[in-house]
Amino acid sequence: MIQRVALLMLLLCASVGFSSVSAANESINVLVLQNGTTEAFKLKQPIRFAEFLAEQRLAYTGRQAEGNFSRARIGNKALQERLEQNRKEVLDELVRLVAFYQKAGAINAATAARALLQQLQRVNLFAGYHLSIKPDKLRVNLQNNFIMSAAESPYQLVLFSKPMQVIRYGVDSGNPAANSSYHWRLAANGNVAREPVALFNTDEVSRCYHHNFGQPLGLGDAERCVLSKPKAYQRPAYHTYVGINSALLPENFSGLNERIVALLKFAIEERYDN
Amino acid sequence: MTTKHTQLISAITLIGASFLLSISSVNAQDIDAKLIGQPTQSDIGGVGLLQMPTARMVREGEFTASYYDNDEYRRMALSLQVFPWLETSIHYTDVRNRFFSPVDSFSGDQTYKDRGINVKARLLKESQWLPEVSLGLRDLAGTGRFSGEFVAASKRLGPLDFTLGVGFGYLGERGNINNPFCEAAARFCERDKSFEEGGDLRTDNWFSGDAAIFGGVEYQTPWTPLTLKAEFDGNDYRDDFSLEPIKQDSPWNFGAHYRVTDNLNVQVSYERGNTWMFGFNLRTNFDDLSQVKDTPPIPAPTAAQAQSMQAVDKQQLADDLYRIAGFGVESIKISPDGKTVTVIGYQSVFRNHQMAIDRASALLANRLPATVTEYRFVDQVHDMELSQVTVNAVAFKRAHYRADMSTRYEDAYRLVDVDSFSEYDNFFARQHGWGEPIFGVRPFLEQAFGGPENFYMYQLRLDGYLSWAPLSNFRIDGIVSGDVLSNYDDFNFLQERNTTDVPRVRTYVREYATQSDIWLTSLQGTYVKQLNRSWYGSLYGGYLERMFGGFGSELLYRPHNQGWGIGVDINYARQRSFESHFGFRDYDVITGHVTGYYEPKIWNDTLIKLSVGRFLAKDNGAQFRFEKKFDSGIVVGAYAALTNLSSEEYGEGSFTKGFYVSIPFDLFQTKHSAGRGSIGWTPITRDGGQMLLRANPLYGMTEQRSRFYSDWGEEE
Repeated sequence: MIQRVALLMLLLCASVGFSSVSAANESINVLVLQNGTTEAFKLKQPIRFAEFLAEQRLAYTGRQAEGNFSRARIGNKALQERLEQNRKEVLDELVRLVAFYQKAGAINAATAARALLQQLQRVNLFAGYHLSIKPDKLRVNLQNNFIMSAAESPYQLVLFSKPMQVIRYGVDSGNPAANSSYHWRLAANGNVAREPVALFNTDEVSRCYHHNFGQPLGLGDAERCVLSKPKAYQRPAYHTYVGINSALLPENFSGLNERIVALLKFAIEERYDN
Repeated sequence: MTTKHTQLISAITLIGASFLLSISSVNAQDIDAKLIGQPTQSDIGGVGLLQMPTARMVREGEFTASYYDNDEYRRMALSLQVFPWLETSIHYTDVRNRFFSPVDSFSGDQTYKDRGINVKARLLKESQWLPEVSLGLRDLAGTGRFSGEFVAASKRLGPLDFTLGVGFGYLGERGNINNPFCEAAARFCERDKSFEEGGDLRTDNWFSGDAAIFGGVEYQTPWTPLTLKAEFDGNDYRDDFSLEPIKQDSPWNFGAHYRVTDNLNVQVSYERGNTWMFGFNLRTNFDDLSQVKDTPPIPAPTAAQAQSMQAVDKQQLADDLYRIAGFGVESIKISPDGKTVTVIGYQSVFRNHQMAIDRASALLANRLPATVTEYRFVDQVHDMELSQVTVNAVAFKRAHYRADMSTRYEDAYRLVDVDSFSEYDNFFARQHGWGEPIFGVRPFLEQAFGGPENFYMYQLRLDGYLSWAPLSNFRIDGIVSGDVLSNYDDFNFLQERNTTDVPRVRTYVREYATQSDIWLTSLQGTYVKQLNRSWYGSLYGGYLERMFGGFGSELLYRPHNQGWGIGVDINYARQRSFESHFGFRDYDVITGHVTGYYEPKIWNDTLIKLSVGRFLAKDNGAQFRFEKKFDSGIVVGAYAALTNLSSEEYGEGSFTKGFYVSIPFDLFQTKHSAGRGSIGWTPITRDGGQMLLRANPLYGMTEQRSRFYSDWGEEE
């Protein structure tokens, strides 16, 4: 009798253990990265993004201001891996470009390409489907208040406590191979713009690319736009990128600046160990 | 013109300019940032300095109406930047000191109006070291009195924009250089300065005769709304058309251009060393125009759905599809496995078709059971199945309910040709009956500009219209009109001036306009049928237009989403009596055309139509029509018809041409609308190259085959 009870107890524990393992396999993992630290959350069931922020007290509390959601982004590991794959391809391309310029004796262009290569190797990139999150709007508008589920887990939510540190990426402006006609602006919300900066093209209208959460790793659709210039007392709220002069790019490298911009729009200052 | 008169004009000009400047309290930040640094208009119309052009282009879609005034000329122009590299203008020059004709009974005391077309094309875009270079033709297809050609280069250095160019004809009268083309061929050395009826392109004259260097600079001052201009004039005005000789004391002209508001600019200049000019222009951009919409929200996702199709209220569903998504539902069908629901009907409310699909799909997602995995929306017009949007219901619901981070509505859509659903079960079918006639009353303004009898001729009328489809593929359309106000009895095409045998098919304007106060404008029956997947046919007859009645047939081949089509129509037409009641005159004709339609991919949002055949006056030839659609939905078009009539037989104007603008109604209202209205302009009405007008041409009825006049987002 006691043996049967023990066997029954053993079976019961095993089934509970088994079900616990099953439940663990279906849990939703969220990594929140902020201030160089990583905090992991495990959700037992699907939940809307706004509810997650509320339950974990990341928003709708005093901590929301610390979260600096204007720069926040939410993505997942799968997207991050695709972004890193894109980075690898662009790095390979830059390596070939450096070799091409060296072979052609174009010292300045080779220096420019090498500088881009080094920057892209070092820069921290964190991909996101949605950038510049607005927690208050999430609660009233379904547009970005998606359901967090195991299908897209593990999620990566990047928050920033400090104001944006404006960084100038790209070729040194003293290098003759730098593009002195057009520069790129990289905004925190994933929108980028190609801005005319030369004397001859000041009457040109800029070209803006709006971040598309359906195809986040691309630049998005382009449209004409007018960019406001920050006043002298204002700090710009965007990074800039100065590319290689398009006229110097060989035909099979055309669009390289755009591909670099598509990576740099996910650049962040902090470093995390993935 | 007396000295006192000149002084009075100058004084008024100065006072007017000062007044406008003084009432404006524009700060730099009030001006739209898109306009800052943009090139400004010249006195003639089109981008330029004052009298001289520059190489500059404005943004695509920029539309400007300008007016400039001085002692001798009043100049009015409409300019449109059709492409970033192509600027076009239509201009009228009122020669204030000349009568239109010496025949008082013909044109009265109207002063001479010269009209023409200007075209400028960019050859080279400015770069760091190279200037922008453009080539232009002025007063094209006009009488030639102000015709000229030029090549200009412009280079910007900060706030200064320098221009240097070579002008020919009117722009090169100064003759301060040898014509460079004269070195290449002798025919460029002399220019034929005789002036004809107008309308001829006169290509033999291009870049020939006297040549002159011209140039200038435009300075964007630190005060954003104000730019200053200085130019060296390539014309010395010694051979000018003004009745009184134009004296030029200085080849230098100076001016100031001021942006009063985003849409109004004024320009004052001192030209020829002795003359003040004043003008203004109104601008907008056809790419920027939009109207805030009062759009009811898409139905929110609901958890409760029907468990089966039997539980769905079919009538309510059909009614809601119209109320929420603008779909007039003809029928709803279900596939044998119950997984596909097809809605067949016509979407008539939203110009943006994807918006309608979003709304309709949301409605179906909320109402239909989860077993339905695909929605199909078939555009059907008079039993012609034109296009289909297939919606993956699972993907749509993921986007609608925001089930993940990345799925968008458009990821669920495919725009395809119509699938067969003959095996499908009927879920809902609208009871057609004899249909409901639609009728109403609306005003209509018919107008013409630049006629010799009167510069502006118009007829304001009230149209009572009827549209009725007693059968699903047969419709009757009619208009009865009543004259309210008109000056068309000024139209004075005298029979004695018509010395050719060309039948008068359009020039009885006065007779038609004055012999009846109430008339039947049109009454047409149209039968349409889809013959095959991409083949469509129609039969029609009745009083097709005000001047002609008859019957005809049209056949159209239009593959789905290919951007081209080809059609043929043949008609018997008989000229209607002048009263436009039910009678006819003796003249009749067999007229018809083969028409090719093409939307070239190299020029986005453009449509070309070429019709070859026989016209109403029994002349044979071709009509070429070009349309350009801008981001706002506005379509601008131009057409020209060349036939086997000679310029002499055709008369003034040499060939038929015209322009029109088609404007979506929903630019003027907060409600959505798929309708459009058109404004047309024909420089002169003559009888050659005239096509029979009728309602319901097949290309318009099959618009959904490859949308041009309506919008769609992503396409397969």
